[in-house]
Amino acid sequence: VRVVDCESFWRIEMRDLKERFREADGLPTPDLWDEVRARGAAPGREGLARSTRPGLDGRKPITVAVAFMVFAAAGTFAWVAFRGTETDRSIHPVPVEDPFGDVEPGWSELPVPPEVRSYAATAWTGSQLLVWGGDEFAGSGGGVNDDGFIFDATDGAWRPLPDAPLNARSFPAAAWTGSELLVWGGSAPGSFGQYVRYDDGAAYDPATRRWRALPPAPIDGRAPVSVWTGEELIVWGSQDRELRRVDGAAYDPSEDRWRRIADAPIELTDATAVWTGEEMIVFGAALHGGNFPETPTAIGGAYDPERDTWRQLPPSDLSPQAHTAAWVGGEMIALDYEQGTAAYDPSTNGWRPLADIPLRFYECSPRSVAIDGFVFANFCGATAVYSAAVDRWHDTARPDLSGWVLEPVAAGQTFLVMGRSQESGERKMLAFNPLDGLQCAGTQHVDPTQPEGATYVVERFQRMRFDDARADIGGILSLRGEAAFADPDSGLQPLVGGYYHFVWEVLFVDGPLGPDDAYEVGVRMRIGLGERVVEETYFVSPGRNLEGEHCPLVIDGGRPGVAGP
Amino acid sequence: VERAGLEGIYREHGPRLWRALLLATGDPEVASDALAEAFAQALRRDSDLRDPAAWVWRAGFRIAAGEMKTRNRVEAMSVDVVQEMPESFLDLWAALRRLTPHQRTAVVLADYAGWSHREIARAMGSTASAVGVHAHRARRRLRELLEDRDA
Repeated sequence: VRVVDCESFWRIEMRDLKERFREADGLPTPDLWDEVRARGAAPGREGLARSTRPGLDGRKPITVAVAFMVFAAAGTFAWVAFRGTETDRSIHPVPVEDPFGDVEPGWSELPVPPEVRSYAATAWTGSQLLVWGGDEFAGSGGGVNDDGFIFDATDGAWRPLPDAPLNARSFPAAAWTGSELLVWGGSAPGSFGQYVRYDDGAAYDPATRRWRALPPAPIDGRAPVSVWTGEELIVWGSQDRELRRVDGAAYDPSEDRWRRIADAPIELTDATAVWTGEEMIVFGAALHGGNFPETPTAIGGAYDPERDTWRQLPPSDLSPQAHTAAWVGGEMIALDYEQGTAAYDPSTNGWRPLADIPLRFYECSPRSVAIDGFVFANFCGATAVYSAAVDRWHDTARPDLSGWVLEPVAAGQTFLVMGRSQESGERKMLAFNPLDGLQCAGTQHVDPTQPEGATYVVERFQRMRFDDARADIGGILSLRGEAAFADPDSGLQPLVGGYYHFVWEVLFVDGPLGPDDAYEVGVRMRIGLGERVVEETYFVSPGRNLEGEHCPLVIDGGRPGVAGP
Repeated sequence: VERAGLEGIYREHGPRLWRALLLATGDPEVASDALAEAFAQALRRDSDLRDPAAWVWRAGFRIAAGEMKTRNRVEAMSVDVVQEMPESFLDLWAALRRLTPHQRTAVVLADYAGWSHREIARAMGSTASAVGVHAHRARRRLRELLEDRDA
């Protein structure tokens, strides 16, 4: 047990840290105004230009020359920086404004899409959503498509995508490279119940509004899982229960070249691939020959493109049909059909369980996508969002979307969701902004100047929901960490519920180190009816409770804390 | 933004923005390129910007983040530019190298530039709560590292 006294634990005080940062004001700086004017005047210039920038005042000069490579026809540019050695590096243009930066927290509605495509190639460019191929579910199934749409977030308009040099298909691999949408493979229904599996691909450049064909891949046609590594599109395996594929390939657009990758040690038929920054993790189910699993749990493997090697993941506790995963916060968050979730950490090569998703059970395979800090999960119209900061899932379901086909796409810091009612055919384009959508409005801020012993009160500490039973727990948290949350004798027991956690003891409180910082709170929790005890760490931000929802921390002015209603 | 007006903003904010970018990236080339590109883009936008100073700060950090993402591995932070600074600052400089890019950006913008977590989140394309976690972990790690060095 570690109880941290925030005032005396650190020998280096907060103000000392800031003092050290203030010493940076003594750093000499280059005068770049001439460079700014040169760049500002040359947005349409063709070819490569170089200019030399002044060095530091009286110091060793930084001989940086900056050049532009402007593709005038494209209207976009890449710029290249040189050190004195003439070694160049490509630098992609960076969108500097998020078009959804001002979208309201939570759900909001955008212009209705012309169609809602499932299993399509989708990509977010920074300002446009590109959708190509896929099928539109229409009760008895829909036909695959060879066309697509563009949603331009800057003007809210939907427009057709130029014709692609590809046949209609679903389940293609897709990636946004920073300048192109890459599409490869996929499948489409053929005659006599057979599927046509494609081995071709194309790339769409929004700047030129043109497609180009990809060179032939060194593997045969299939509907693979895929990731974009920042350099290559890796395609692997096949989401096809009639095929057993352990091979794959990687396409490098800068070289316009494919390479084969090493064969994997596992087969998967229903899978998701995520890119960790170093490895491609494929995770899912092996359901060959039907809907029956060949393994006791979901399985996975990790491919290292630098070494061209695979390793197997340890087994998870998720059901053998689980095949949905997303990468967030240094972990792969995986979901199963029964709304169980777990997190895999490549640095420890271990799994840890997460609380189940707080949704009513649906007979439905989940889908998920991630943005920085959050995972959006869709269970056939019921949605939940996982926040890495508080390590919990939140129910974000809208009753009006129950039973809808939802197709979520990560768009910067916003989730875009295309939806279609299977009953009425109504379509919606929605945005979910988790920025404040999981926080409580109007909550008082923690005052770090409160006297020692000041007590913070968690007014309403809503735990997860199971069916319609809500477990509301009030609790008390001392700044110094001595006080425990309310125990069963406090009268603040959970109202009712099949599954709930109960805070048993606060182990430590770390922070806050700054007025807006999160507290790091370690707690020992009893799960369910006490049969299992776990220790977990939470981040408690001002304006949020341990769940990041409802009215959370309220300063109690140094008086003994009282539990909320 | 008129050129004269933007030049004034450059004179007032440019040096501090460059230093903040340097602290966050550890690379004077990236800091210079990001700063120059941010102001150049502001110049091209003429009067589109309501708050040009805030815009170039955000743009500078986003451009720098984009540049750092293109690098496969974290490169050693340049020491040339800071070698004549006081030892206490060099300790901080060395400690910053041990943080993740997100942690470095969060703590630099919070403790050097004085931004709120919401402002940092907007510049980083993240959320205020995530920034709070990054900043908290960054400060804790910095203190551990600096105390080790002091000891």
